[in-house]
Amino acid sequence: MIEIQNLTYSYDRADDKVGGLALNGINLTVNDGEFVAVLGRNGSGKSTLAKHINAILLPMGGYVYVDGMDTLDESKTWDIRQSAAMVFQNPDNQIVATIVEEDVAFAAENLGVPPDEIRRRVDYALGAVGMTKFRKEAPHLLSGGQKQRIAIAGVIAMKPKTIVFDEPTAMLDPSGRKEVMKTITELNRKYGITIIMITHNMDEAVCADRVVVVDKGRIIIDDKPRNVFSDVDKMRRIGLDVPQATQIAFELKKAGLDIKCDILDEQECVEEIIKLCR
Amino acid sequence: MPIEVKNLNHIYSKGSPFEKTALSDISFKINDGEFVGLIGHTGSGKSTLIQHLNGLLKPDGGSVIVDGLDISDKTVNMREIRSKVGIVFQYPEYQLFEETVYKDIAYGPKNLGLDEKEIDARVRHVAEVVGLDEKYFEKSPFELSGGQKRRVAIAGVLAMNPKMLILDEPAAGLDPVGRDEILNRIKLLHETEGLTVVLVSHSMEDIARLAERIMVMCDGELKMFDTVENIFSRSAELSSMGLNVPQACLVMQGLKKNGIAVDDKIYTVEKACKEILRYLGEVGKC
Repeated sequence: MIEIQNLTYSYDRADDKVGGLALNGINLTVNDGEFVAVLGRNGSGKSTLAKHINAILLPMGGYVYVDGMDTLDESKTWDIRQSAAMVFQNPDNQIVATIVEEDVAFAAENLGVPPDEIRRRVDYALGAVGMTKFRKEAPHLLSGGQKQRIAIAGVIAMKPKTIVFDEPTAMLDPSGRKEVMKTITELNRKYGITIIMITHNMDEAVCADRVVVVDKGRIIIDDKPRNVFSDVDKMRRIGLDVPQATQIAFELKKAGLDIKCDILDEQECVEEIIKLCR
Repeated sequence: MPIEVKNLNHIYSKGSPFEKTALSDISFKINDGEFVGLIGHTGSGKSTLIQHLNGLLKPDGGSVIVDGLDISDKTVNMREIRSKVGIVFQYPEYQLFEETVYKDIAYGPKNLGLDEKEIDARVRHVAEVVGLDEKYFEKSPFELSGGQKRRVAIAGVLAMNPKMLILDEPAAGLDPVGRDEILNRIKLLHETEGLTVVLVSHSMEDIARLAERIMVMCDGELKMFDTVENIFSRSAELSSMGLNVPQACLVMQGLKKNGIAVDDKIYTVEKACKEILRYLGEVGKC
């Protein structure tokens, strides 16, 4: 479980004339097994928030507890990072070895896991991301989506309870995005890993159980995706999108049709429009 | 300014054990003043192709004719080609290097040997075009936000006064507002100054909204080059190439499959709504 209490943080660079707080009184609890999407504009503070969850950044005010461990307690830093691991945007920056399975083993090796246990974990992690048959390949010959799945496998081999993803699909093509989103969703549903995922892609946020919107260092929305996206006007005011299917329903309603707006994907949109035709 | 590519081939590490054909037998013509979208999976050859359009890479076979000049011709001045075709690479903000925003934008024109007055006029003009306020001119580019840095980088390419602008994922990593601002500026430039644009993107929604024609690359080959509506009506083929279509298309195609007689060659939210309202009016439901 992740518990964030009244968290504030400022980068406070001397040359930063804008200054101000990057995070301004964040309160957030993420329970075990939840899938939370974090949305927000560039500079809203969402990456700053994510970096607090595995102690890359430490609170200036307030507290962050990862499985009951206070991130300010330096003796716990490594345990925290094992419990809440992080996957970044660019897979190329996260791959270190020349063979897939060695890369996946890298983090676990550094934790001092015994060799036979590493073997088990690597096999398990490659299976979880659907990359077993590529275990002997060279990572640089894989596609973007496959490389990102290898990076995720490396994290899974650490057996974390939570994985924090910072825009994991931003650099991928459509099929790569689909692969990675399927993997993330499965890790949550099938393997019970808690997911916190930052994204700009509204279609991806729809997969989560809960959507948190960060704006100017504060959490301004915390609700189910269906409730969040149905308020199209509000999302636009914040500077965020909604899925095109939701937009279509919203525009049709504005044109005077009796259609519900809490639509998340094309399937639901088609069904609702068919109802209108009857 | 037209660009014509005929039977273009490109092979990486030719003659070595790592030899790999990146482009095979590509032919197309981009007309003066067109807005072309370029899509394809990672590794499909998009970047290799665009680097041929201003002579950063040379063909291993075939030819690339830029405004009547063959880039393989040894007598052709490459500087001339590169000032006609500007490329904005992915994450161009990593290419900023000067002390101030003004100097960074002025770098290209300065190297063209233009006089101070002309350089100043160009810098001010392109800053306005990308929506960058003059108050940033004396700031270090590294102090700016991601979206602002990207504007500076694009301005630097525009200051060369290219006739064709090629952008590789100009909106990657930007939030929806930042993305729309940059893309709308490019669209405006295309409309007002007749700039020919090639936009590389993984976002089918952005391509659908902006492009007039779309090129589809797959495994080093140009598989399709057609109007936006014709391309997005081939969603099954696109998905077999690791691509997709905008969600608005999927809604229209879903309706059609369910026996509702709407036009399914529609690819934007705006047109989709109009068409659904038209249909409902016709069948007397609204």
